[in-house]
Amino acid sequence: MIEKEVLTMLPELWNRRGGLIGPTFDDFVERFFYGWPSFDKTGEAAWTPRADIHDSDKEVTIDVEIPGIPKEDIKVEIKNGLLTVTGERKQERKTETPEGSRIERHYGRFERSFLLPETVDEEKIAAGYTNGVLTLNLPKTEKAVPREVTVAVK
Amino acid sequence: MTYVLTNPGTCAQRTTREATLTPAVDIIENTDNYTISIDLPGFEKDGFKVVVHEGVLTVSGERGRLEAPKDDLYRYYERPAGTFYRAFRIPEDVVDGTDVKAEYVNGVLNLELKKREKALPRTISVQ
Repeated sequence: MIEKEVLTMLPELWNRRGGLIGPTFDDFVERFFYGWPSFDKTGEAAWTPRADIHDSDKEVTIDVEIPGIPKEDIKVEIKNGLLTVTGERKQERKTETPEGSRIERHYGRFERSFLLPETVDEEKIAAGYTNGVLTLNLPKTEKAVPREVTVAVK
Repeated sequence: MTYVLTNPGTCAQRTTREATLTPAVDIIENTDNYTISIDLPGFEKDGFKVVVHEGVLTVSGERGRLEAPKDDLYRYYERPAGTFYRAFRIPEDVVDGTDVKAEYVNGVLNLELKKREKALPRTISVQ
């Protein structure tokens, strides 16, 4: 029963586009454009890091791959139930001889958003960064954690 | 100056190795060295294998997936798990491929290949 409920709810967790129309028009616009490259003021498109999501009884865990970014440069924001990870990867090394070089890695601004289910306690969200992976722990509210209640039948 | 640290094969061409990941690589040529930066988030420092053999530098490793908790209700994976493999032909101006430094910082494996002294530009003073 619970499983079914979670499954129908979760696509919204990672797919804003499939989400419902939010309380404000901005939310609607934001959701509509989810997955489209976003542009900053300089007109540069942000790159989208890859993520893994785990949902268990007690918490949701999101692992976002953002290698090569100092911890201080990663920003995690929660607004209207939308968790957004942003930051920028700066190109540190300047090429002295460009003809002998090859660039495959993404640089510049990155952005990834997740629409949080209502079962998550926003106050208790914790984030850690190890070996290029940002791990977000989103504990669920006590109400949302399934409990087994035995009801005595008389 | 036409040196490019050529890439003889990514895992896609070497299916026998069953590599599943092709990490993104930057190769920068500087005046006295080459630096190779490979995006490898979520690995362990000890899990990499860097081998120099017959003028080819190969880097490989494996990333497992953490065992999912038993009470998992939902899983969504975008990050591939498994082995990766990338090979680079070492240019002739590098000391027989011996002077390779490797460090793993914030999920990026940085390799530095020092150029041979002879290959460096020299200034000769006029007497």
